[in-house]
Amino acid sequence: MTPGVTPDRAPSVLRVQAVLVAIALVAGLSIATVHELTRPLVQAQRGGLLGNAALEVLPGAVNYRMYARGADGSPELLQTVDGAELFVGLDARGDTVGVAIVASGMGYQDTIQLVYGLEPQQQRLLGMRVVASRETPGLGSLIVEDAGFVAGFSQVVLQFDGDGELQPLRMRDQARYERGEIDAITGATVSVRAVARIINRSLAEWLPVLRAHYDELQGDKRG
Amino acid sequence: MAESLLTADAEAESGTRRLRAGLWRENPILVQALGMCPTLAVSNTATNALTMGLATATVLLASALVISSLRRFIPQQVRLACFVLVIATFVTLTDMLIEAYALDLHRNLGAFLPLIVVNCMILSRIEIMASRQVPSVAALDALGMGGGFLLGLLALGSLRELLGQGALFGMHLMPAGFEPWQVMQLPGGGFFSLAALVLGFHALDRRWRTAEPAR
Repeated sequence: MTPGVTPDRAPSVLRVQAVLVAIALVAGLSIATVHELTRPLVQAQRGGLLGNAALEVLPGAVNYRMYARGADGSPELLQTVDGAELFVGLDARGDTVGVAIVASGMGYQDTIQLVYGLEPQQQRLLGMRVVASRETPGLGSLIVEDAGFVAGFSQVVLQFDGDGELQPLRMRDQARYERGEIDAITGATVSVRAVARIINRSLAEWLPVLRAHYDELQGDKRG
Repeated sequence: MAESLLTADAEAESGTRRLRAGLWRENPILVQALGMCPTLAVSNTATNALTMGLATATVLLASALVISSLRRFIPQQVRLACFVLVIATFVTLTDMLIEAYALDLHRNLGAFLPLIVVNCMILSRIEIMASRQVPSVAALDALGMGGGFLLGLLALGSLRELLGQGALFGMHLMPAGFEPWQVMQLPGGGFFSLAALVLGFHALDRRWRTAEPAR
C-alpha cells in the first residue's frame, strides 16, 4: 500500500503549525495575486453593467453623465465609470430624463448592488435593476428574475408626509397599489425587504443632495 | 526491480479503474447521491449545469494533485484543516476567474460557486484517495469523479432545460406547439428529473451487468 498522510507518530506542535502556516501563506499569496490580476476586468465589467443598468432604469435615456459625491457631499462630475454613484440620464437632445442612483446593502447572504431611476421631479421611481447579488438561486434570486417585480418599480410613487419628509417604501400587502409600496415575492421576502431597505437608505441620503444640487446637475449639459 | 514494476502496473490499473468507476459505477450524483445541493439548485439550464460541473471538477482535480503531492508533509492531526484550506483556495480562485471572464454565468450560479468548498464529494475523494495515493492515481480518480459529476449534472440540466424551456444551451429545439413544463424549472422539477435519471441509470446498469457474463 502507498503510504498516506504522515502516520501516527505524533509530530511536534511546531511542525504541525509550520505546515499549516506554510499552506495558508501559499494559499493567501495565490488568492491575492489572482485577485489583483482579475480586479481590473471585474471592475470594467461591473462599470459597464452599472452604465447599462442606468440606461435601463431611465426610459428615454441614450447617454449619461456620471457623478460621485465629493468630500463635502456635493456631486462631482466623473470622466470614467469607476466609483460612479449617480448617473444623470440624457435623451437624444441632451435633456435630463432623470437620475439613476447606485446603492448597495446587505441581502440574505451577501451584498446586493442595485441601480434605481428617479424622475426629474423626484416624486416617482422609474425602475430598478439588481446589478450584483448572491441571493439563493430560485428564492432570493427572484428579485432579479421576477419580471413583474422588476417592472413594478416603474410605478412606485414616493410618499412624503406633511413636512415633505420621505416615507420609507413598504411591501404591498393588498391588491391595490398605494403610494410608496413595492411588490412582495413569495419565497424572496428577505431579499425584497433588503431591496426596499437599500433604496430607502439611499433615497434618504440622496434626496437632500439632489434637491440642493439639481440645477447644477442639469446645468452641466448646458455648460 | 520486478516488485517496483509490479507496483507501477498495479497503480496504473487502479488509476484507470478509478477513472471508469467515477464516470459510471460510482457516479457521484446517480449512485452515491453526493453534492445534491448544487445538483438540484443549479441544474435548471444546461449552461449552468456545465459551468458548475466544470468548476467542481477543476477544483477537485487541482486539490487532488496538490494534496497528493503534499501527502507526506501533512500531519495526520491537521489533515482536514489542510484539505479544506487547499480546496477553499482553489474554489476562491475559480470563483474569481469565472467572475472576471463570465460575469453572467457568475451571477446565475450565485452562492453555489463558493459553496463548492463544502461539497462532500470533493472532501471524500481527497480523504479517501488523494491523501493516500500517488498523484497520477489521485488525478485519474479526480478526473473520473469530476467527470461523473459533470456528466450527471449536464444530463439533469439538459433534461430540465429541454422540458422546462423547450431549449438546449439557449437554442430552441422543441416544435412550435410545445408548451414548456414550468415545473421543470422549479425546485420540484429538479427532484422529479433526478429521480427519473436515477431510475433510467439503474435500469441501464442492470441490463449491462446481466449481459456482461454472457459476453
